[in-house]
Order: sequence, then C-alpha cells, then structure tokens
Amino acid sequence: MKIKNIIAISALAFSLSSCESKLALTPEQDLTEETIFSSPSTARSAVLGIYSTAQTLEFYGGMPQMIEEYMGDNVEFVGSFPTLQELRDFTTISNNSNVSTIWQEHYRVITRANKVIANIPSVSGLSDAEKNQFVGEAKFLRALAYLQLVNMYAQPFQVTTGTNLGVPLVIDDFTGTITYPARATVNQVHDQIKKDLTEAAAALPASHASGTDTRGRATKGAANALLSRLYLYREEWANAITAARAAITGPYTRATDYTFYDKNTAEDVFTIQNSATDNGRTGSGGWASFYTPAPLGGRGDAPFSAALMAAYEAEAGDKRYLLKRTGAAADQLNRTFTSKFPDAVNNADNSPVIRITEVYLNLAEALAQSNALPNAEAIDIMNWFRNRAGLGIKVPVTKAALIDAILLERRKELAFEGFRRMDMLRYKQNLRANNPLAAYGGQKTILPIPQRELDNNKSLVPNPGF
Amino acid sequence: MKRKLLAFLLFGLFAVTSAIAQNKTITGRVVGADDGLPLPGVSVRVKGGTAGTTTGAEGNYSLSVPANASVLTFTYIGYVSQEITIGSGSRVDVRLVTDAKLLSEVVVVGYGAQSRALSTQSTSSVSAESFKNVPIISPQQILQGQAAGVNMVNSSGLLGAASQITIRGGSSLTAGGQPLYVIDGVPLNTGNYTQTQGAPAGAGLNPLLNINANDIESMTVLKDASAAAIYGSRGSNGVILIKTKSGANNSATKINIDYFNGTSQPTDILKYMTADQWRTFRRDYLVANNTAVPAYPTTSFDWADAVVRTGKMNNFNASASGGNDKTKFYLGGTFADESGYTVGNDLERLSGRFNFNHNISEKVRVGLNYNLARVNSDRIGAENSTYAPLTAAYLQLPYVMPYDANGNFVNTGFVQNVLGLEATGFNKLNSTRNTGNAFAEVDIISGLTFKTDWGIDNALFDEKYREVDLFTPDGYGYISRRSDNKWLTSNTLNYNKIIGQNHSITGLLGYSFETSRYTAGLFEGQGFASDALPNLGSASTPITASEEGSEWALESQFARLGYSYSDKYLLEGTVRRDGSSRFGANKKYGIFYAASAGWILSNESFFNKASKFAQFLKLTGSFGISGNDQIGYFDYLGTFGAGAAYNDASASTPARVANPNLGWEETEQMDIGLTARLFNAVDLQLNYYNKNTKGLLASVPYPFTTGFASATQNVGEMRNRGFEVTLGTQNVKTENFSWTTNFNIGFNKNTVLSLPENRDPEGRNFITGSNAQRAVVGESRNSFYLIRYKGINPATGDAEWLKKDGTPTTTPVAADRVIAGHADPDFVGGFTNTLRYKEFDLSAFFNFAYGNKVLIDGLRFTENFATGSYNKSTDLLNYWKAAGDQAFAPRLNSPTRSTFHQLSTNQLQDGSYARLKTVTLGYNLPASVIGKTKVLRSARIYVLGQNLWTIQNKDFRGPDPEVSANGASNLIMGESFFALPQAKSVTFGINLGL
Repeated sequence: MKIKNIIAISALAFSLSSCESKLALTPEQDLTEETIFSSPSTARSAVLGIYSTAQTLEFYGGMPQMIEEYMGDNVEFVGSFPTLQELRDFTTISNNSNVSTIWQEHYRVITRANKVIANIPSVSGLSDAEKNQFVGEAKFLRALAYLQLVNMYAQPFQVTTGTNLGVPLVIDDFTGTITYPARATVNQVHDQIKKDLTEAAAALPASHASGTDTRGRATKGAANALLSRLYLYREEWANAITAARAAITGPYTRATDYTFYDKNTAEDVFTIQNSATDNGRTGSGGWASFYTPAPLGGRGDAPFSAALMAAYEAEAGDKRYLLKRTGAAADQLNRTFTSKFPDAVNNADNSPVIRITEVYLNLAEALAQSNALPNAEAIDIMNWFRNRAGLGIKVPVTKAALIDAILLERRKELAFEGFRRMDMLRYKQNLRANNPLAAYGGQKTILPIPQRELDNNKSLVPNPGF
Repeated sequence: MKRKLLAFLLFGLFAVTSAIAQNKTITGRVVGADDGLPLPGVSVRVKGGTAGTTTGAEGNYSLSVPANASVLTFTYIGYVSQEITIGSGSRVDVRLVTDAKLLSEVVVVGYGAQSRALSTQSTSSVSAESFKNVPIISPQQILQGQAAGVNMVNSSGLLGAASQITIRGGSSLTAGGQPLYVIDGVPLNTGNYTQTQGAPAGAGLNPLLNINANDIESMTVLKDASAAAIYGSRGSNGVILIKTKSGANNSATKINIDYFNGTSQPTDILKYMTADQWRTFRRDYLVANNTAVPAYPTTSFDWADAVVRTGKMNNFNASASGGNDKTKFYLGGTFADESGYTVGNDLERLSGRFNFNHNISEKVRVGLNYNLARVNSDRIGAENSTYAPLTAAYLQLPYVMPYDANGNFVNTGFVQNVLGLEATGFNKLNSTRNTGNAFAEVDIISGLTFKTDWGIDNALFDEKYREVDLFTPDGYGYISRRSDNKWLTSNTLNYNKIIGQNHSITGLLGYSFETSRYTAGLFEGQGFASDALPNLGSASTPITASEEGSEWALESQFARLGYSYSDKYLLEGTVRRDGSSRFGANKKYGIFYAASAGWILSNESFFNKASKFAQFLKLTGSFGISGNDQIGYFDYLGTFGAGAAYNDASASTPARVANPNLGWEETEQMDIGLTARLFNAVDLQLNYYNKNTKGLLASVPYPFTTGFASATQNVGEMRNRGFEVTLGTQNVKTENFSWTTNFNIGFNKNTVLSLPENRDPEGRNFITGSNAQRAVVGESRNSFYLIRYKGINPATGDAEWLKKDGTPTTTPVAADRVIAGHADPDFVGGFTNTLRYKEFDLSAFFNFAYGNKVLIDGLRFTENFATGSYNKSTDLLNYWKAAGDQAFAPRLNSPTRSTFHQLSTNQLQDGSYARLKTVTLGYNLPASVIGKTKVLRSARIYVLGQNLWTIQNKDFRGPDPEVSANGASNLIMGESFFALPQAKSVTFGINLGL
C-alpha cells in the first residue's frame, strides 16, 4: 500500500463524524424558559401547570388534609409511617421529611403562580381577557397555598391576634437570584391572601365555558368563598358574611343528598380535578390511599376516630354517617373508613377544596358570631343541613349554643376534608383530651419550619420546641 | 475546531514522513512463552546496530532494518532476552520466557498495554485465576478485596442489584461517582434502566449484568491520574478496563467446560416476634397506657420463614480457543440459572462471546470482539418497598394470615401479602445487550501503526408487570421498554522507536467520537376482566402512555508520549481534550493531562541484583488532572417540563434553573509509588496519593421558597488521601507443596474542603445525602449527623438521648444532632492464602472493611415501641420493668415510648467486618490419569463456599454489615432499609479441559 493512500485513509477515518454540531443537542421532553411564555398554547400550559402541581399528594392530594383531620380529632391514624405517627403523637422534630415535602409543594404552587403572574402580561397572542383570567387564577391558587401553609406552620390568628410569625411571603418571580426571605407575620400573610383573592375575584369570570372548568378552575365565586374562609379564621365576621354572600350568588346550589362527591355538581365551588392519568397514580397516592381499607386497594391508614363516631352516633339516623365502609385497616383490624374518596386504585377522586356547603356554614357561623342573640338566618342554614342529613330541627336558645350547633354540623359535614384541626384551634380547643402536648397553643400543635429550610435560609426563625 | 483537527492530522503526517526512507521491514509478534499472551513494550533491536522499536499493545512490531542486518535482539524486563537470526522472510515471531514473577506481568492501560515493570501508571489488576469458578453475577464483584484502594460493596443480596465501587475514596458528590467501565475499548453505558417497581431509584441494575465473568481475562483498575487522564472527562472516579479472553496463535484448540451447582441462604436475618409474643407485648403496652385492647386475631404465621427459601444456582460454561499462524479465536458461552433465597427472585442468563483476530497480511490486521447476552429475571420489590418479600415479612403483623379459611390468598393491604404477590401475577425483566467492537490495524512504516476501532453497546430492557384483581381491584399492569444504544469510533496512531542504544520512545495520538441515545417507553393500564389476561391490551383504563428520548455525545482528541532511557528512567505524558454535549455553551470543552516519571533503581549499575534482599526496585511519581461528566443530559439549560396534565389539557411546570457555566468536575491527583521484589519471594507495591477534586458538580440546595430544590453547579472541593499496600509472597514452593499469600489494604481519608453556602448550627456548610447522612466541610463526604442515643435510664425507665452539650434529655430536638461517624471505611482490603499439595488445592479469601458506620434504618420500624401497625424485634421484649433494670427498651408507659424509635445513633451500628468471602477446596486429576483418557487435558473438581463466616461487632443489630442499599449513590453510603443480606452459598463444580 502506498504511503499516500494510507495517509488518505487515516485522514478520512480521523475526520469521520468529526463535526461540532454533534455536540449541540437539545432536550426532547422539555421546553426552554424562553419558549414557554412565547405563545398562547405554551403559556396556557404553564397556567395549568400550577393546577397540576396543586394535585400533588402533599398539596391538595390528601396528605395535608388527612394530617389536619388526625391532628384534629376526626381520624385515628394507624398507618406505618413513623414521620406521620410523630405528627399524630405531637412529638415530631424539625427534620420530619413529610413536613419538609409539604412545605416544598406549597412553595412550588406559590412560585409557579408567581411566574405566571409575572410573565403572562407580556405573552403575545393572548387577549386581555385571557391574560386577566390567567393572572386571576394564579392569584387564587397562590392564596390557597398561603392559607393552607400558614394554617399548618404557624399558630392560628387567635393565639396572638395574628402578630406571631407566619411563613415567608414570596410573591416575585424567581429568575435565578436566590433570596432568603424571613417569615412574615400571620397578619401580613393574611393581608397578602386578602389582596390576591380580592384581585382574583375582580378578574375572574363567574363560570367557564366548560362545565368541568367551572368546578375545576378558579372562578369569582371560588375567590369569594376562600375569602369568607379567611375572614372566618380571622374572626372578621362582617367581612366573612359579605364574602360568603358574594360567593353564594354564583352558579352553586346545595346538593340535596351526599352523592355529589367527585361528580362536578353545583355543590362544588372549587374542586381539583383528578383523573386516572394525571395525578401521578404510580407515585405516592392520594386521598383514597389513606382513607381506604386495605382489601379495597388503600393503605387503611386513616379510619374514623372513636370521637367522630361518637359525634355521629349521638343523634341516630344521620345520613352523613352512612358515608362509611368497614374493612381491614393498616393494622389488619376491622375499622370504619369514610367512603367520600372511594378510588384507591387510580386515586382519581377529585379534591373538594371548596364546597358551597362550607360557604353556607361560614355564613351561618359569622352571622351567629355577630349577633348577641341566636341569629335566625344562621339557625335556618344549620337546620337546612340537619334536614339534609335526616335530622330534626334544632333551635338553640343562646348565641353560644347556636355556635356549638353550627360547629357540630360543620364537623359532621366536612369530616375528612381537612378542616378539623383549624376549627378546633380557632375555638381554643385542645386537640386531645389528657395530652398536654396537644393543648391549644401547644408548640407541637403546628408543624415545625423544616430543618432543611432553616439550614439553608438563615433569615428563618424556627418554631419553638422542635 | 476544523483548524485544530488539521493541525492534529499534520502532526500525524510529520510522524509518518520523518520515518520513511528505510530499507527492509521486519514485522512480527512477541508473546509470553507460558501463556501465549502478547507482550507490549518489548525492545526489538538490530544486533550491533542502532535501529530499534518496541512492541505495541498486542505484541506486534514492525522495524525497518538495514539490508545487511542478520540478528534481532528481543529484550524485556522480567524475561530472558533472545537473539533471533533474520532469515529470508520478513516476519519474526518470538516467544519470550520469564525469569521472575510479577515483573513479567502485563497490564492493560487506556488504549494500550504495558509491562508492569516499565509502567509509571498506578493500576491494580485482577486476573481470571483469582475469580475462577466464583459464583458471581456481575464481574465487578471480582474486585472486592482483590485490588488495593478499591472499595466494592454489594448493595443488596437481590439478584442483579448494582454494587457500589469507590476507587481511592469517591471523588464526586452529586455527579455519578461510579468508575467508567471499558470493555475491550468500549466504554459501557450505565444508567437506571428499570421502572420503579422492583428497583428503587438507588439500587438499580448492575451495569455489568450482561458480562460473563468466565469470558474475562483480566480487570484492571486505573487509579492515578497518569493512568486515568487518557479517559479525560470520565476518568476521575477511576476506570475499570475489562479485557476479554482471546485465543493464541499456533496453538491447538483448547476446550474448557465448567459446571457448578450450589445453594444459598441469607447470611443472617433481623429479629422478629412471634404472634404470641406480639400479642402479649401489645396487650401489656396498651394496658400500661390505659388504652383499650382490641380483640386481636388468635392466628399466627411466620412470614420471614415463609419468604426465605434455599436459593439454587446452576452454571454451565463452555469455551473454545486456539489459532493458527494468521488467525486466533475465542468462543465462549454460558448458561446460568439462579434462584435467590427469597421467593420470587430468579435470574437466568444466556450469553455468548466471539473474539477473533486475523492477520490479512504482514502489515494489516483485523479483529472483532462481540458479546451477546440475554438476562431474564423474575424480580421482586426491592428493599424500600412493602412489596419486597423480606421487608414485608419483617413488617407484617404476625397474626395476619396469607390465606383465608378456604386457602385462598388474601389482600393484606399496604404491607402486602408477598406470598400471594409472588404466586400470582408477574414481574419480569428481560434484557438483551450487544457489546462489541471491530478494528483494523495497519503498520504504515517501521514502528508506526494506525488503528481504527468501531464499537457498540446496545442494551434493551423490557419489563412486564401484572398485579391481579386481589391486590389491585380489577388488576393492574405495565410494560416498560428502555434502550440505550451507543456507538463510538476511536482512531489512533501508535509510534514506537528506539533511538541509539538507550532511548525508547512510544507515542499515541488519537481521536474518538462517542454518542448514545436513550429511549424509554412506559405503558400502564388498569381494569382487567380477568386475571387470566396477561397483556396490557386487555386493560380498560390506560393510565400512562409515555415516551422519552435523550442523547449525548462526546468528542475527543488525545495523545500520550512515553520515553525511557535504558530501562532506568521512565517518563510519560498524557493529554486529552474532551467536548461534551452535557455542558453549557461556555464550558463545552475541557483539557485533561498527566505527567509521570519512574526510576528503576534495580537497573542502575550500583544496584546489586545478586543480593538476596532486593531484586527489583522502582520508584514512580505522577501528577495529573482528570474529570467527571456524569450529570444529566441537559443540566445547564433552564427548562419547563412538558407532559403534565390538568383536566385533560397539557400542563408544563418549571424543571430547572439555567446555568450556562456548568462544566466538568476536575480531580487533581498526585501519586507516589514503590514497586519491589524482595527476598526472591515477596512482591511489594506501595502507593501514596493525594486527590483534590475542584469544581465539584453538586446539587446546590436552594431554599424551597425559590420553587426549586436544587441546581447543579460547579462548587466545592474535596480531598482524598490514602495509602495502599499490595503484598504477594511465595511462602513455600516445592514440587509437591506450595503456599502463596496475597494481601492488600487501602487506607483512605475523605475530607470535604468547601461547599456552597448552606450552614449547619456549627457554621459548617453541608449538602444533605439522606435524613441521617451529609457531606460536611472539614469532615467526610458521608458523615452521619444524628442525635446521640444514650440508652434507657435504669432509674426512670425513660429512653435518653444526649443534647448537643452532652447532657441527657428525654426530648431531643433536631439541633442536638452531631456528627456521629462516617460511612466510608478507614481501610478496606483482602487477604488470600492459596495452598497446593500434590493434586489438592485450597484457597481462602477474606475481605475486610474497618472504621465505617452503617445505618440500619429498618430498625426504626422493627424497634418501634408504640405502634400496633407492624411486627417488632424481640429486643423490645427486654423493656424496663423495675428500677435498676439495664433494659433495651423504655418503660411501657414512658413518655419516650413513642419516640424511642426516632432516628438517632440507636440505629447506627459499627460497620466494620471481616468476611471469609470465598473458600475453595479442589482436586485435580493427576497427570497420569489424564494422560490415559486421551481426551482430557485437565480435570478438577471442587467445592466452594461464599460468605460462610463473618466477624463483626458483637452488638451489631442488622442482618449484614456489608450494605449500601442506595446502590451507586455517592452521598448515601452504608444505609440499609431492609436491604437483603448477602447470600451464604456453597457450590460444587467441575472444570474440564479438552
């Protein structure tokens, strides 16, 4: 072989495939930050991305709500996770991994909303109406996240009238520069929620073109309803009444029976839509995985507590007590579970965030609180629900008795949906009898600021005792 | 870039032209006389003249000699020199005879091979002899305890689980920390190719699962920078070169048949209560706490006993090798069938290898190495899953029965009925892998060889899972198909020349391009009319239909230049430039280099080789930089992940923060070594090294308030310092009896030098690995950070922990955590004794690790005092009853009853151990008998035991101190969440040579 030939072959072999462009590869599953807000369809997918995040187990997928129920007295947690048992026992410390993930998912919702709020106004191709709506939806979801977050990680408004530390307020879009926000007070967090919800109520439509969107995406009614919850928790009764009445004017009717769960009926003010395909079925689970007995595909972790059963059994014939099924719990003993979230196979049950029932109960409670004598409208509302439940008319004769009666209906209506702990604490009740750790104001009746965040952000002050 | 390439080619051209103008070219091949294996680096000279060259990696040489030259001399350190008369032909092949052990050893190095005596690189190699017949599933298990400085930990007793290998202490944090595996020049793809079920994120599949250990001739670990820098951006965690067997020219075809059969069982299992113990304990506990006692079922079942079985293994291997003067070949095939010691875990491997070399002419050679393997496995949930048989067995309440009154399986919920799961449905993983390369080599002119090599590594993983109606109402199933297909080319010029009498030069110049495409498809469905329908097409609800694809590419130029003077002074320099698709626009290309030098004192005139004390002495030193690129495909890009959905419309969520400055992690390493042969019987190798990794690729934790958990950045610095000793001694050597000992030990100290801003209460920056483990500045990368458990107070019966200041408390908080040990051992090593008496041989191999802690996380569950949700350890029966009790567990109604199990040093154990890894007793049929058979060349029967005996801390509560349940994770070592212990096995086998 001639030397020249050899050199030619070598040169060929060396230069083969030697092209720089082979290193310039692009991802196939992701869009870059630049492209996402460059077209209406991708921008819309970023808005729906907030809802998609809201579906997660640790946000509105059932875990925080179950924790609220068992730290309250509606549920007896018999599951196997030590981190969840520690919350049940009021003995956790700040490196509890569930506490950390719950915090993380809430800030995911918040920061994803921040991004939409910051970037939607400049998306070309979107109408002003769409922009307003998208920003309004993001503000609603941000408010929802802050309210749930501050409820869990801070002592309630009642302890120091909201002057105690809440959670860090992050409302600006994160574009790469890390900030280390300190905790705002509960009042400051509430003010932000109030502002977001007020703006959202103004920007959002009363309903959407699609029926499931009317139930599953933020609306004017949803913003007002959530506002009534906030005012109720803050004991601003007049505002609660106004907000509740504003919400009730929306396309909502109280259901006549209890078959509305997961059905997107007029009972639903805002319900996170879950399906078999989009809630991360193979991931960590959902409402039903905790609330369903083992043979039906659940974990059997969270049956009725004895106290809740006693509450229903105190008045025979309560139809709400029929929303139950029995089966083997995590400890393989036969226990009673709710049937509100039946689908433990796909965890496709919708998350009932706001029902019109709650709004009416908010209204009733605020009315009862703002009148020295038992308020007639409040009594009517309460009896409407008693009637729906198959119970007889009740006529409390004092303000206190009326409030107690409304709270009892509230407990029995909203059981397992994530309200119980706050409903007890805002009336300064102890979460457990005979357990000083669970007393109103107790250090471990709230969650610790996650140790991971304390390590990372020196501006954060820990909750005491963890 | 094009210009650089041109300059690069011109250099090659210069090398070519400068070497033309000669007269007659002799070519040939030099091999060892005893094994027929090629010898690289042999000096080939014209006797009395100045012309000379050295042999290449495959023992080939070509040399232009004056027309009147008559004799060639072949000299090679450790071998007897030979003089061969040049005949009329142009080919001279030589077989050299050794004159001392070790020094004659040939080591495989990157893009070549070298004589160990003349090498300045720091490597460890393990040859086929050391692992023959050992029932291992994946070849890297060979390295455990056999190579100084290599810490290999089997992650789990699960069949086919990944193992964790760290070479000279890990150099990485969040970037992949496993070494690069290169098989016959083809770097293997490593990745997690399985669905969640059956393989948690950490303990993935073993990347070498499809490689048959029987086909391996040697495994070489490249440890220092001079050895690893030739692999540039992928060398900093070490490189493991696997060379497969080849035939020998001009030898009769040899056939080897090996068969073994054996059984296995767990080395140990955790303690658990019987149903009666549990009921009594629970009743006492509830009564003591004024709680109503539920009516517990009166049934009993021993779950652990039911899921553990006797594992079985069966292995048949046959190979043929041989060759004539132009062609040589190796053919190997294996069928292995293994069932693990827990129900439902089986693995079947069928693999074949064909290695072939042919000389087309005196100057042109071609070859092929090709491996095809299929592994079928029946998988089980792994470790951190209540679907894992042994995990579920520990947790399952002992009164829960697997069957109902009619003998049908029942659903037991979250802690599932694993017996039923294994008996119904299926969980299969079938993988096929094609790995191979083809090459052509041309001698261009005297001493200059061009080689072009094309390789592939195509792996396909198919999973099929089905759960019946009983366990998921209406049934559930998925199929997953993942593939990773690589191709690469490397083109090299090798130049070997001897100038004058003493100057030997070797040069290597190369270009390579490598790319791989990964695809993944997952299809999940639910709702089957019948359990008899196995396929997803029968599902009513398709839950997931997903597809992903990603690609990476690496383009490199590299060069190595070696110089030696009179076999006394050795110098070598290496440089590699890598361009990778994984890094940001500002950091696409990186340059890596190393320089090394050696001094063979024993070749100096002042050295008395006849001395009984020392026969060989070499000092080496090296310094260099290699890198690590093992991060995600596009970590530098800020992205929004598509593919989420809400209310039947597509949703996108932010996935990553942009970082255009993302680049390589670089490790600088200094190595000083001493190689000696002493007393005519002792081979000693000592090495000291200091490795500094800079620009560590780390997932820098972000406050969650940014919306991101972390971002990959180049931050931080880490140091590994260590010392290695390898000792081989020939204690006795007579005709009938011989005894050799091999010992190696590697000490390593890992220290994190700096990390991004993220401070603990002591003000030290750290990065979290797990809830128990973190990398801390000033400490080890694998420091346990835990509340210290003190014990049960004999006076009060309360569990006590220590506050940060050391005072006891019953209510510790997170701020009381301190560094409580580290997961990386102070030293690891191995010790082998091999005895031969007449036809009998006996070998015992221990491996050991010392100074590390392991966290048996499962104890938080089995020692959970307060829960009624799962079974417990019998240790809890030793609870405090009266003042003065030295109890294991607290008083039944102690306020600490529900915190006793909380994460603390109570679960942290001393992980030091020494283990009789293998012991073999064999009998060789005597030559006299073999001769009579006319068919047999050799025959041996043996019995081999694995993991038969373990020495560990007497207080160790856990099945196995050898554990790393998070597989190849750098930041989480030595943690177990019900990891399956290693198997204790005994095998009987036969080796036949025909």
